[in-house]
Amino acid sequence: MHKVVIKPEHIERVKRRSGREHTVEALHGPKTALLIVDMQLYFVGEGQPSECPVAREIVPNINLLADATRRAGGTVIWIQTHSGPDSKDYWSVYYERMTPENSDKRVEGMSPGGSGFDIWPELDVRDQDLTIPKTRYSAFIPSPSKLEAELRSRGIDTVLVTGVSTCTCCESTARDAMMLNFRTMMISDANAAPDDELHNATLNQFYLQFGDVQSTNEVVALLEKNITVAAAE
Amino acid sequence: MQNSSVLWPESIARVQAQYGTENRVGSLNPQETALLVVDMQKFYLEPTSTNFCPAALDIITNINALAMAFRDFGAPVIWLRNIVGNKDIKSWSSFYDRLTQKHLSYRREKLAKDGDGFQLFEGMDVRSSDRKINKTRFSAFARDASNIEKVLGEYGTHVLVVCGIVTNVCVESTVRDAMMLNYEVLVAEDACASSNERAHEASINNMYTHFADVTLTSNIKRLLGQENAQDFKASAA
Repeated sequence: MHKVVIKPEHIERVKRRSGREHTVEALHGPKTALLIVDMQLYFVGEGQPSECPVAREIVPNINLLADATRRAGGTVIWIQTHSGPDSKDYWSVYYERMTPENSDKRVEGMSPGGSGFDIWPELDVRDQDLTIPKTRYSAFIPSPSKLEAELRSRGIDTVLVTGVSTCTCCESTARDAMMLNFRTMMISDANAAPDDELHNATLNQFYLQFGDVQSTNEVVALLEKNITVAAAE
Repeated sequence: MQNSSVLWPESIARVQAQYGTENRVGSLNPQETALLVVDMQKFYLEPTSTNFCPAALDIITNINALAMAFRDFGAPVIWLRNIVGNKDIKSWSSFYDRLTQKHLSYRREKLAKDGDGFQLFEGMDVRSSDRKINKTRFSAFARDASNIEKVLGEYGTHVLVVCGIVTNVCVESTVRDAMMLNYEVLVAEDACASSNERAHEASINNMYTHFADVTLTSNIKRLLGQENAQDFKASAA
């Protein structure tokens, strides 16, 4: 698991600018979506082309968050990268930079039905959850996206971002979500990156400029509070 | 070609493994390339501003040199400016709700169209042939944030050279989105700045490994010239 360090000076800066350490102080279940980005074999499985070993370690936290989100009346959304053969055309700048072998490997692995396409089997995907394809790093590009339409139609205003990798697909999705006016949080121990340094660089930057960063336990507690309140009403 | 000194050896190794080369952009065709200068406004460059970023003063010379090189090759120079309008406070509440009333009022006043932080800093060499684009989000490519895609379409731009401030926020968000919209992106590392040196470095490495090529101001001038020289040779032959 990553050793997460949010720098004390950043916490002080957020307190000065926002008047509080965490800008998300409560979660309303029905208005909340948990986004799980790219937890597919290609990034999670041992020996896969873009394996990120820490991705296997965050699986229990993602399952906890998904369970709490559902119980609070929120929406769990599995974001799945689709890179079919046509992606070489519509995203040519990405593929043209790769060696031909790497580019073919990616299309083979990430096409629907490909060897790296499926969601990691230890993740607890339920029938009521949504699975939404994405074709770039960010799930919100090109815009407008299916993801955004689903969120808006459900009246969701807050998104919790988890998955792999912290600094690439998760951060791009989270940045874009925030610029599309969703209250956005990255969950510190439910994202995985190639190393601690990259992971922490993203979390610190996101916390300072874009949204909130909290741990799985903190987020589950906020959701539980919401469940208790809803039950009492 | 000399590489930026802030690139980590592991980033270079990763890029080489994935792409088979350290620098993916080998030349720049001035006819399809534009320079994007991000947010070099008084709000961030005046020492009296709350949002003063001292490191931004150090990149003025390089940015002006890039702008001159682009003009020399007949390629567009585009200055991006952050702007805050009344409706943005609500339409981007996910950002503005994070500010205390004091910080919100300050930003809103200074970055309004007639605010004294909105204008480009005096040190920037802006010419009448240049283009200015206002944006209402960190990324110029966020939906409805600006008319940049339309402007680039008019110029026939497919390649962007990006510089300005701050590296890890507006520059990186703009670069990420541009790349995902299928623009080839080259970042001029020594013409970007952040108030936090470590954040600048992490951001540059992140862009380099996934979103853009990264090089130095002096190389960009050479890359523009190279393409020209090739065209010249081709037409002579």
